[in-house]
Amino acid sequence: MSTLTGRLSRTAVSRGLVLAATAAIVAVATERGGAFIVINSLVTGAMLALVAAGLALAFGVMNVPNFAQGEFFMVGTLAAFLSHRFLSESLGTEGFVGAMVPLLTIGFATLVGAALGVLVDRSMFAPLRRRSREEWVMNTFVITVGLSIVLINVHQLVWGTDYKGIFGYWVTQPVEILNVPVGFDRLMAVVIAAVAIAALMFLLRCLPAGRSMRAVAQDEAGAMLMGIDINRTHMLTLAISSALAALAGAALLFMFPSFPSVGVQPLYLAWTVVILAGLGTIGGAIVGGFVLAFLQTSASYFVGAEWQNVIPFTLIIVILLLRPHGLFGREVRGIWEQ
Amino acid sequence: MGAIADHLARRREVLAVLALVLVLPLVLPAWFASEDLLRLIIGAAIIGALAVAFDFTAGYINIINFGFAAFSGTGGYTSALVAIHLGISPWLSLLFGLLGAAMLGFFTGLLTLRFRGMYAAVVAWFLALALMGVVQNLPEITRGARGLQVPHLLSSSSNLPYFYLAVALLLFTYLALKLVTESHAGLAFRALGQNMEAARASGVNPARYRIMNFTLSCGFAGLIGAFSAHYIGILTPNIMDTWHTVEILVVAYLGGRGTLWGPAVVAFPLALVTEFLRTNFSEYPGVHLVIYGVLLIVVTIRYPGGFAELWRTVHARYRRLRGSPAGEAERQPAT
Repeated sequence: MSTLTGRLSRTAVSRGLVLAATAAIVAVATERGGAFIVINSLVTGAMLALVAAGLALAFGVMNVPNFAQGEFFMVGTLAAFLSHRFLSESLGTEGFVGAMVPLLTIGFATLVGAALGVLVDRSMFAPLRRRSREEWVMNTFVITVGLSIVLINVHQLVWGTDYKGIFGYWVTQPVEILNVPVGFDRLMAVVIAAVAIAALMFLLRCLPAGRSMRAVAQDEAGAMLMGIDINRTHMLTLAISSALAALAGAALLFMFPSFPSVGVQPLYLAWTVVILAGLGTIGGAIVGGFVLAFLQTSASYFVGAEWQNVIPFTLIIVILLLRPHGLFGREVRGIWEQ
Repeated sequence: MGAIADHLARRREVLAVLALVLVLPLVLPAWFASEDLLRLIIGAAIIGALAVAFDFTAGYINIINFGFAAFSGTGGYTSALVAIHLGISPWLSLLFGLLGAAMLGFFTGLLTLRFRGMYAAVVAWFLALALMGVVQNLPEITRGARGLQVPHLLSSSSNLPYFYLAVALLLFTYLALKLVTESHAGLAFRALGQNMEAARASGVNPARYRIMNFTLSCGFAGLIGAFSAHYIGILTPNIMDTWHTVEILVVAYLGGRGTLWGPAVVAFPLALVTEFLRTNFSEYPGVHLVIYGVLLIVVTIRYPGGFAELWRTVHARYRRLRGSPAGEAERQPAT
């Protein structure tokens, strides 16, 4: 019992330290650099939180370390670009219908992401599950590496390497927040991310499908004995995971124009977040997304944009040395031996 | 020395390759007059040697070193900078490349000791990304993206001597690492890769063997990277990119994990096919990558033994057709 409380308090202490450090950085950054650092970090943080939550979900439930999560993001940007062009040509940009076009676009891109997740699970992970569960983590990692190569190059073959972007979904005046003009698109990206995170939490906490996902995450054999359909749960998990990434890509199309390797940067960052938070903890991934976004924005502002990748990665290695299972993770030993 | 001679005598395939390499230029002088083809084969030999060193970690202790290209690139940069600033011959600086990368591998092994499988892979990856960032951001030393001029290994501009050197390097890498995997250490690597707890219970020290494995694998990666740098003559931070690691991973997995020879062999046809697709389907850029991606997925799902397993099966069937009972006995179960 004493070790349990010991561990709990240590986790609590390290969490507290990180949150305090982040708060301090935010305060200093706001003081020195102005509120726009905070606003920028919130937008990228929202995107990162979505992509990383998907990554954490797939790892927590399916034990799949997804290297193609960035390509799901890329598919989101591409689907959004193509459907936005089609919808705004056929429905126009005026009036109520025109105002609905961005939401329809983002919704459609999310559905495409979900469909891709189902397809990948049916065609790749399900056959592998049937063949062998040996070395599952490494094998699925290699499969997603292959998937990432395929998706990037198919995009390049069919749509070319040029930037396919838009100026913005909503053509309106910027909103003034903390004396900083904030584009309506940025504001909406944060709102959409918040809604998606709330929906994900509701699903995991309250709906039967979410409960079976958590059950499979805890103990797959036990969940199967309780009558949970493992294959369906896996499929649903990957669908949600890739839909989250595609949603992030679609909502941020105005910042990230679609091109074949647009997903590489989000992928690196999402992995950093997930490792920082501890593999498989979704709440941790969401908090970690915002923490990393703040770190990165401040690093690029105060040290120089070219160092904005080096500093987070170095920091992560240091944090991992002190807490090998991440800041929010618990002991996850048995998971590797599946 | 006796052990090494013994080892060589048992490796008929090595003798076959040596014979092939020595005879081919004599039989087909027209081919070997083509500098393009030679360059292609040298590139394939370099990739093959890197894939062998990669397989030494991925196929044995079962940890994917996802920062592999950066370690090899570190070897290249170390060797190049030593050769430039100390003014010594590139032949000597190759050793510095090996040592630099081996030291880095040693520290990576040490650093990832506390992590299992996937965590270790990702930490190595982050280290590589940080390294690449450092190389990019120190242009006063590395000249960053503008590229570092590296002194050539040989003064001749012909590719033929490099061809012999590259094949020798591939054979050396293969033989040295094969020797290690056939020793007591190789057994320990496999045990650690399959089940760390059981290996520990049997008295295998995970720390010692993991560090040893990383040091050796990265040392060879550094040597090969240094050779490649002194052959090409220019270094950019790009060679440390994750996509180069992925390239090596594809070769290692298609060749067959945990065999060392599979990756070495498969590198050559893959390089030829790549070149063929690149020249004949130039209106479809990246089509060879789509094919490799699909192949990688299919092999991992359906046929994890890769080319080595295929060869073993075909070989056994051939033996059986000839009525030799040895074929069945030699067939090893897929690992």
